[in-house]
Amino acid sequence: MEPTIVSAVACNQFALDFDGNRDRIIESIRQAKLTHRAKIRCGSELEIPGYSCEDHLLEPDTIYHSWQVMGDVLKLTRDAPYNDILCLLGMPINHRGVVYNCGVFVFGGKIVLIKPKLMMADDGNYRESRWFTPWKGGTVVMDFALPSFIAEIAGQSTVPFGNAILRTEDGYLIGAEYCEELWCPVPSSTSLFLQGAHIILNISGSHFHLRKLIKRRELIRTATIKTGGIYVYANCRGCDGSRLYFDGACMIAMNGNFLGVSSQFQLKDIDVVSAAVDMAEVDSYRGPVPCRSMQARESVHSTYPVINIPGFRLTIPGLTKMTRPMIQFNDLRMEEEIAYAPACYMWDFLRRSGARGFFLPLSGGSDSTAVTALAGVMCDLIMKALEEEKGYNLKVIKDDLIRILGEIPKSRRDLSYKLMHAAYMYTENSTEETRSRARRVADDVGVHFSEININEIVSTFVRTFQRISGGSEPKFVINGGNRTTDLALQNIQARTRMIMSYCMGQLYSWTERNNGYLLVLGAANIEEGLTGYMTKYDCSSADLNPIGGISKVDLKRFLLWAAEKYNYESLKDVAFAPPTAELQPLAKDQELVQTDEADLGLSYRELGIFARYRKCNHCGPLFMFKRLGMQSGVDPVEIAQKIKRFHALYGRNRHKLSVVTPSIHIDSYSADDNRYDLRPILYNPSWPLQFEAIDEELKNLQLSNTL
Amino acid sequence: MEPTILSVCSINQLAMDFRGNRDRIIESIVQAKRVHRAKIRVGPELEIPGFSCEDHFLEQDTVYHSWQVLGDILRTTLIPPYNDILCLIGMPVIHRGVIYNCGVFVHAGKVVLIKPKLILGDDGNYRETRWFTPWKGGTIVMDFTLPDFITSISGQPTAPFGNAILRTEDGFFIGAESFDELQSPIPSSTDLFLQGAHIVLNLSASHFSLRNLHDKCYLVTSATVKTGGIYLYANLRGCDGNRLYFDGSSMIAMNGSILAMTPQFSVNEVDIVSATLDLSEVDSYRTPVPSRSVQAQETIQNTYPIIDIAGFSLLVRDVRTLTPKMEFKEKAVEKQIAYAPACYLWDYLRRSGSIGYFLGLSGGLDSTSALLIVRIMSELVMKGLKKSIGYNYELLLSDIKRIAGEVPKDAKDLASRIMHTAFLATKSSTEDSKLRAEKVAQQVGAHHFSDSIDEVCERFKEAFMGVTNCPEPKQSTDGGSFQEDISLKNIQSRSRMVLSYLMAQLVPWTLGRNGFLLVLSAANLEKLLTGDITKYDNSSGDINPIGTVSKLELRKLLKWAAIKFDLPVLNEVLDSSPTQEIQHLGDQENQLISEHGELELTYEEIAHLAKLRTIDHCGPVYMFRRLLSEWPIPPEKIANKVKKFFILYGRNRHKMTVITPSVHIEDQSVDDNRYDLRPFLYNTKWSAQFRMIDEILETLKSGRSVLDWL
Repeated sequence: MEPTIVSAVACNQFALDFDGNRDRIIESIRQAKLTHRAKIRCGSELEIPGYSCEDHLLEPDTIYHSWQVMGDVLKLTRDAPYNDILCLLGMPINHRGVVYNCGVFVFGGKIVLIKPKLMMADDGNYRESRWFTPWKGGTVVMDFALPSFIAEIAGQSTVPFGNAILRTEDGYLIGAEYCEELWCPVPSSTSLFLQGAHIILNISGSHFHLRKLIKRRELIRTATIKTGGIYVYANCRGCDGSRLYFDGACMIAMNGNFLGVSSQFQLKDIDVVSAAVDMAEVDSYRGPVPCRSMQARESVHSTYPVINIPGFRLTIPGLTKMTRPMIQFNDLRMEEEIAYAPACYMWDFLRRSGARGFFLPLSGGSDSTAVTALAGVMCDLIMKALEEEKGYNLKVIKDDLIRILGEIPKSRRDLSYKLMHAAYMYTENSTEETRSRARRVADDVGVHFSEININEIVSTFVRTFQRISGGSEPKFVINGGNRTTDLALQNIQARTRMIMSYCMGQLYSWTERNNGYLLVLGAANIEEGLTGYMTKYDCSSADLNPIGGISKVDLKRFLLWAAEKYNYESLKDVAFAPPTAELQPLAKDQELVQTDEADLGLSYRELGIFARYRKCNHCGPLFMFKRLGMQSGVDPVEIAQKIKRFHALYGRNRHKLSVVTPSIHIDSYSADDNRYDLRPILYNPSWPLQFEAIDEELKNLQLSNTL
Repeated sequence: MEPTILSVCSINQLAMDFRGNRDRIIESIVQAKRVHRAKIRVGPELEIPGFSCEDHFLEQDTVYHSWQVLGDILRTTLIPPYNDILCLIGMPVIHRGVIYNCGVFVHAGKVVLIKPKLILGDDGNYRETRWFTPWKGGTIVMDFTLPDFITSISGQPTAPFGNAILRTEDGFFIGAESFDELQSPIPSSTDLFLQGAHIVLNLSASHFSLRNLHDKCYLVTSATVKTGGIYLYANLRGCDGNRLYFDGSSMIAMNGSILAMTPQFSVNEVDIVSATLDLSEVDSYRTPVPSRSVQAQETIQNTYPIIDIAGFSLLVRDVRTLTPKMEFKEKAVEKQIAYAPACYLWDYLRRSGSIGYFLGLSGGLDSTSALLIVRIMSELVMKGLKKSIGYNYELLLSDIKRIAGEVPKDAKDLASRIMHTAFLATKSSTEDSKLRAEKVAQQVGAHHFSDSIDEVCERFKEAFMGVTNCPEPKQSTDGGSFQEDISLKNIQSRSRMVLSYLMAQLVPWTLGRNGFLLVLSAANLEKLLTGDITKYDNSSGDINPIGTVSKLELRKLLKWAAIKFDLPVLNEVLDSSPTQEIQHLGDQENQLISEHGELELTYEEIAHLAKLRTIDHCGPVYMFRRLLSEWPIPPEKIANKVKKFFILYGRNRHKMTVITPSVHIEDQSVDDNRYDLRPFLYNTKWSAQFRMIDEILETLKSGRSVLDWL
């Protein structure tokens, strides 16, 4: 037996909060060593400055402060027991005038190796090549001159810089790859394992989206299944200042089996996972496979240099109990992911923003109801953390609650009532049905609720306009107006709600004789964003939109799940009610005249499909038609017409997304224009060549059918 | 003499508008050949789909439609006289599963060479590595299989793909590079010229930024000054769907001198310049320089392949005069600030389908500047109508007719037809500013309204009191708390936005016209940077022409325009607008007046810190360190200013996530969508950073130098 313990940690870092980040890193090393007795502690990517510094990564400040934090870490690891753990920390480093995204290996108060990242992430939400250059040094290891204040602490003037393999005194080889490298067709870990590395550490900054954890796990499994070896994967956790939720889930795998996975959605500032492994199992897994050995032999011609770690032995004598491989994973359902990711994000955002709570205009429709329910989920997670956490993590959550509320909440309902404020703002076009639904939702979830009549405000706006312009009274179509006046009257109602929401957000605390403010939440789903079925600067404009990245269909699934799980009966009614904006007056017979789907001319199911083909499959109008028009059981003529309708709406309304409220990234069909879905703001919405090409395709199709 | 005629064009493309883009490209080829008798026509980067397609570049559609358009271009060049011009056209090409940003050489209905871009733009507003991969094939040229429908036009199953040098039948060499290659420390063109290229073509999409054209000229001339040669630089023009204004200025240079340049600001869709030059001047400039020749000879070890262009000779026999060198002088800063957003607004207006602009006009510096820019836009349009001919004239005329209803008699008339403004007064507005706004609208040219919105604000207050059963919130002048005061002010300013949109929607209806107005917002750079705006108030609109411009520059603009267009009211606006103050929102910590009643940060100071932050990439500590040697005031004061600045910035950055798109004018822009990417949630205590500043202060106090701190 050659036993040892390795650990991976997720710290809930915050971009540029160097003091906070330092404290969390040091606490994680402490826990890894004292609680877990680990010999290796692998942290997440750029954990010192925080992953989402973005353009701050171009500032020399960021690198300088990162070194300062590194200095504190070096000081900690000089003395026992922290002088017997190999730590890998992520930070940016400037080497010969080029900034690299690096992992720094630290042991016994010294820097063992600085390893730059080989492959930049540049798609989706990622943009690393704006700030970093990928290392193309191959097997070359250079001297890196340490800043003098670091040299003084470490007692080293230079350290090795490049892609090398580390060797412990007891002869084990340790390599590292970072995040994106694992996702490449040919991962760096394959060549490291073939060159004999027993352990690969991966520092990652991988954000949440639906079902991504399963993909990550597959990648990690395949990383060791053919080559054998131990894979230690550490990921960021939390909202660190941008639209992303990093979902932790650090993993330790050996020879294709998983030994440990840390939580994905828990309110823990520090989350350490460790595993006791028998190093001998690596070679016994590898040895008998000739094809692996043959390829391993081929790597001899171009090997990475080996660097010794003086004084570091990996094995722990006397350790007998090894971690057993996990047999099954408690994979969350998609509805659970939709619930927990925004809920965790909302808590981080709330406690870091300095606000006292949230305010939400609650219409009784499925979007705002979903946001209310998410606030409820957040409160449940907080209460659960209060019960289950201890030590550092418990202290953090208690401190935050006391700062925000002045006290520790007595109950779950007490908490949600204080943190979440909702209001139903009605006009003469609102119905009793939605009003009572809103009331019941607020009551079920347990949030502070009020009803505000905004009719007078709306009519005063119209009156003021009439006075200014000296024109006649704008009317709804149903009352004899035209489309322009009808739309304008609808928009006034919607925008009035925004002003009222901010007024409530600003003054609510004042009514309670408190300082502070509430963050205003918005609730508009992805289809509304994509088709522009929303008013620019109405109550979709807010500080944060927790559901802006979720489609209506998924939202409905979430509502039904939450209704079941938390016993929120009203959510079921909401889920089955036809979506309506209620901005137009009702017809005489009082039946609902305005439904979203009728307004749009497209069903939410169709919109969901188009949204996916647009973003996930990168289809423009023509290729969307080529893919969808040929599917069996569809009418190509109808599909063509609908695709055109969708793109006409999209092209006309894309400008609305240039100013859309930040939403949490949930799935790959997101339309977030700031970071994820980059598009022009101005289109020719008649798409002349594209639509003509569809017609051409349609003609060919009909021709081939008649033949 | 070995004379030839070469041309470059600036065309005003729109992303994804393949039909329109095709028409403009073909028109440019027609003009280059028929009007200019040119032998070479270079177009801008990605001119077929438009440069700003962004994530549409990931769609197969974009590549497919680009080939469709190229097919039409090939057909055009099949027949005389267009079969005797070498065209370089920009489009995306997929080769073996990788998307490249390419230039396609076309001659006489055939694809001569597809040249992928070697270095991609990735900083500032650029993000090419998201969509394209830089070509690392070195001197390798591969076979590229053309799409079937292209083969049926050109008769070629394949075309060469890679970095090669073209050879004409009369023995001249032609290469190509991109703007990013030109900007790099060792440009590709140096290599190409050393390997004997006579002409290097550059297809480019370089956007406007203030005081930048001078640098571009320097780059273009420096490309040939040491190696000799001819440089053809073609740049995009206009707003192609994004926040950038591409400022044309396509250039022809030879042996370090500029011979011709398209205008930087123009309302023409197709601008072409050509130069008649003597190709023998290249060798007579080059060959006598031994150091160049030695380095040229060293390139022999590793040269690009040569590809012959069958049937193409460069020389033009019957030319008489050669184009002389031209003197280049960059336009005054005031003109740049005026013309770039003015041209942008015209493109935005005509392409958005709207029939004018709406602006809340307070009579202050910002909104007056926005109105002035629309007037200047009208000046450019009317001047363009007088000067342009043919294709450009027809387009301009039809756009004006659609937007204004008829052809206006002059620029002010045009402005008054398309520009609608309103002074929306509240209790806190003064009679002075109301009158000034009216005067501004009247002189500069706008259809102006003026009225009070107090009633609306009252209703909001009542609704709030109704639901909370609270006493009436009061303004601070009536004894209200800070919280009350600020929220009442916010209601006023947000109501203005709502009413602005209502008017933008309905004013055309009251005038009996179909269509809508775009809402302009007007908040300057310093306001946005320090968060001196209310989220979703009048700073929220459809487009902001001045959002990246410093207040100091806007003052220059007004001063200049007051004389240039005889608008004395602009001087009144200048006199009434405080140069020092920036008013602040939020709680006490957000204020700029210290406890001792002194102003903690002036506009000038903020403008300077803005540059240090964005252009010099300084965080708090490095900014403080820089200022120690720049500002002759006590270090403690500098420290306080820097801290104040970052506290304001950190607290208010969230406002930038939803800020109205601004046309990119100055490089210290705070645009969060494309240019200045930052988190929107900060720990506004900046504890580690400010502690460091304090430590430096201590060091200084103890008499040691700053160096000791490092």
